[in-house]
Amino acid sequence: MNVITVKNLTISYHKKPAIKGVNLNIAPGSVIGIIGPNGAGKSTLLKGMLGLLPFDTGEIKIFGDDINKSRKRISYIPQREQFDWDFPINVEDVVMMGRFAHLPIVGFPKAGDKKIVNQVLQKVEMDKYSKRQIRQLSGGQQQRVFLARALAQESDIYFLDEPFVGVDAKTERAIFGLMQELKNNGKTLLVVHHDLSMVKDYFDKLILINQTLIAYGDSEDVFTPELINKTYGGRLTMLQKTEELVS
Amino acid sequence: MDILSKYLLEPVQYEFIQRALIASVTIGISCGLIGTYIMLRRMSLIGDALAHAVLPGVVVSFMVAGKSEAALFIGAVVSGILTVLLIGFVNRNSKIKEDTSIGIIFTGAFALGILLVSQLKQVHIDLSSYLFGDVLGVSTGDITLSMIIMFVIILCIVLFYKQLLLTSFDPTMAMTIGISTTLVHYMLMTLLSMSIVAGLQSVGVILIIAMLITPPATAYLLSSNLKKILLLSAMFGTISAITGLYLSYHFNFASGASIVLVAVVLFMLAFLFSPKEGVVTKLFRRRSASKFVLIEDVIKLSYRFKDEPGKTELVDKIANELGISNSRVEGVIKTLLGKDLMRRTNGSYVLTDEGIKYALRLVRTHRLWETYITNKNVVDIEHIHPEAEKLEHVLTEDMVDELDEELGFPEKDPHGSEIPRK
Repeated sequence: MNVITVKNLTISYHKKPAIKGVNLNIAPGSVIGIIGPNGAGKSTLLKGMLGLLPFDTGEIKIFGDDINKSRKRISYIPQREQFDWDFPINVEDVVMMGRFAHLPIVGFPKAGDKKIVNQVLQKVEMDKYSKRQIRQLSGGQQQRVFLARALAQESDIYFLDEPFVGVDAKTERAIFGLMQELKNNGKTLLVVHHDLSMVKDYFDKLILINQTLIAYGDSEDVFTPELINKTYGGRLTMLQKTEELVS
Repeated sequence: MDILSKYLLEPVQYEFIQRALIASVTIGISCGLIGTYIMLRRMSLIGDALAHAVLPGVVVSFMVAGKSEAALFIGAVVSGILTVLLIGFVNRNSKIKEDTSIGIIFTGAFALGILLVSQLKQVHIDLSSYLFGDVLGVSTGDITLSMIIMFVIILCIVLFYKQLLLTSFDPTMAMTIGISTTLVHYMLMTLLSMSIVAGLQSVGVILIIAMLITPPATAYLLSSNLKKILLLSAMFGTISAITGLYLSYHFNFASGASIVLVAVVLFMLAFLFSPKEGVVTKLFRRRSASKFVLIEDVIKLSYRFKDEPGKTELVDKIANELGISNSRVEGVIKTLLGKDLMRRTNGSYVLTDEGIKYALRLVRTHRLWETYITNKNVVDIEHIHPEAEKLEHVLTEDMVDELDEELGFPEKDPHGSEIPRK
């Protein structure tokens, strides 16, 4: 069964369509990159699938049903710059938010939730910093904390928005390792990515998008000069870059 | 003792002072708690707007029901919520931005309130006590009302702590897991209107915003833990209200103004002297940091010049290298002698074993850091040295080990000098 089905999806901002008529069938157990130039609607597609944006036309099914029926099974790792890093919160409390999806409306975290939080913090090697306020972390460490939060949610689908931006080598390895591990456990990962380097290493499948869906398929098949060129609208510098990369 | 009892205890025998004290505690707590969320969600403008916008509701409730606390409460909360809805409506249905629509709606509502008061010939409302607050005129009914409000606020914050936290910090995630940010927003707005009603009689509509944001801001400067901030904020609110009440009693000051001024004084103290963020504290810290840097530099140089024949030569060389006076170097050496990092030997100073270990650690940090920034192409080689110099003092031992690992345990730095192993 498909994890996500998108049918004829159109989403507009101020009457200008950001994405048009997108159709997708996403099977479980893969790491999928969403690739396209700036303003191509990558984040819009992601937020649309998450049910965060109203759409003009189309239909989205998660596990064959309305997204509201599977909210617990979805986690989202937003871009780092959208947070107020001075917020009075420490690493442990951020990760605990991942458990909120599983708690009743009026309910407090239990010992089991705390155990999960500790486990995922160890997994991303951030357990040493559990009491640190989030401003007092490096960019890579911050990214790992939000990764841990998504892991603590124990979901089946992970949406990541530009997770590799501004992180150190160690964090990049950590993110990559976790993506592989999650995939091997049958989870589905959708990752917005703006850079064309490493694309083939990171992702099994690619969604190439520039307002409309250009291509969707195995990285091997769709990461071709023609399709990349089509996605990036034939911008010269990009073209040269990509030809270098694909050759 | 006499003075204490005269100024602090004597007033408490009066019933109106007892009522004022209870009212002070309840508004301190109510406003301090709700205000913390208002501050974190950057909604102080809407807090001020609501405070003004409850006025027409208060007046209408007077016209309908006379002086009844229940009616006042309903009138104020209803007009508060209507204002929030109206601001949102204007906002969504035009290109007017939120701050402008807040400005338009709340001044409009406030003006309507003033107009209604001026037309009310048959009922007497003491407008000035609503505008500027009169904590000494608090009635038993007012107290009952504000106590109920305080308990409702505490209850909601305890029960919905996680919803309030998540929607304040990461509304997007809140939505993805199915928490309604709109519902939480309106809950908070209702609680905000309620805390305004509680503070109306004591502080007045014009200044109540200060009770909502100043104590939380003070607490925020002192802690980065939300639960502590909530507690501290309630505490500062209460202290301000009680101190303001005494000032108002003894000097016949307007109570709203004196309460707010006390809150601002507390804020200024935190602003200047907070252990982490204080402006004055930071100044001192910078001075002690530079002293620390000086000590480390002297250790390193004592190691480098360990073969100098006598203490005059050693001090001269170090002073020369650092560009400071000989007496300052001697002062630092005295500190090092006291810490057993150096010792006196026939006519000179030498590092102890402990001192040598310290020096080697500094050299290692310095050279690894240099290697790191060259590898990363941060700056070109001739600029490296001063850059590395600045940072070696702040790197922790963990960070240095991590650097070493990332660099693949190099043996030489970019200048070709050997990097001491651990």
